[in-house]
Amino acid sequence: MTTPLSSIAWVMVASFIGSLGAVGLKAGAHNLKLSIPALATNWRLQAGVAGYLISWVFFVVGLKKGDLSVLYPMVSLSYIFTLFWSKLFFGEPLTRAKFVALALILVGVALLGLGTR
Amino acid sequence: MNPTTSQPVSAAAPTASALRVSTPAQKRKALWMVVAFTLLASIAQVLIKTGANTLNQIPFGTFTNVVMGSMHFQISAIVIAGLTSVPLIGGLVLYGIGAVMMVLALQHGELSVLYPVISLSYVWVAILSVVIFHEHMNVFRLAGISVIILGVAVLGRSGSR
Repeated sequence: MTTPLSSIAWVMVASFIGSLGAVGLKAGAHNLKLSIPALATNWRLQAGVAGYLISWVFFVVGLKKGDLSVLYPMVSLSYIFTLFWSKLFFGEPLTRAKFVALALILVGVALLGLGTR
Repeated sequence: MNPTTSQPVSAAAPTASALRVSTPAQKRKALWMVVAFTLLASIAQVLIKTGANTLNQIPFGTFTNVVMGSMHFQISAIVIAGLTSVPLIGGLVLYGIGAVMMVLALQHGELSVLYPVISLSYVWVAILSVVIFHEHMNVFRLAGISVIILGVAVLGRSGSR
């Protein structure tokens, strides 16, 4: 099965929005208070959840056509985006261990994609 | 790595509490919560896939008549099937529980460590496909599973200090 470019684009946009969703969740989790008024005003958390839902819609649209074994591994692109957001928004250090781990994970996901064909 | 390293305070850093330091025990707990989240999310995914397959068999434009007192409605059969599908609703509920766990985990530990741990869901899905859907285990799958676990282990090591 060939994978149309449009599907690849949808999934890439989904990964990008999903990684921004993760930023929202993390920012919202920092000042998390488990009460209804606090959760109702925690706009960072809400933005994070919204980001996830929106990315999910993009992902589902992208998956309608094309090869799952190509598209599904592409979601792991969001890990790369998230690494840079973590540095930019939260000042987390980018260590060698994180890059090594990310490279291993991307290779592993690609291998799984090959094995699913 | 070094919690005392001074980082530039970015514009998006919400409050001073964002810069609080979590203990290694809290970071380890956060890592395991993400691992649990990936297992829940993968089971949810299988349930949602099962539910969606049933919905896909209903042709578009099929309507069901609903009578409530003197009111008559025509509701899409797909919508009704979706709202009453046990695997679909169960999968979404599991996803919800997983999402709460994920947020609680993010309270402690770095996003750049915890987020890529989600890749374990690929491992669970591969295992579930072989165990539940009897797909074949092959060299690529086995290698993929091993390499992802190795990567997550590297993250775990750097993230629990």
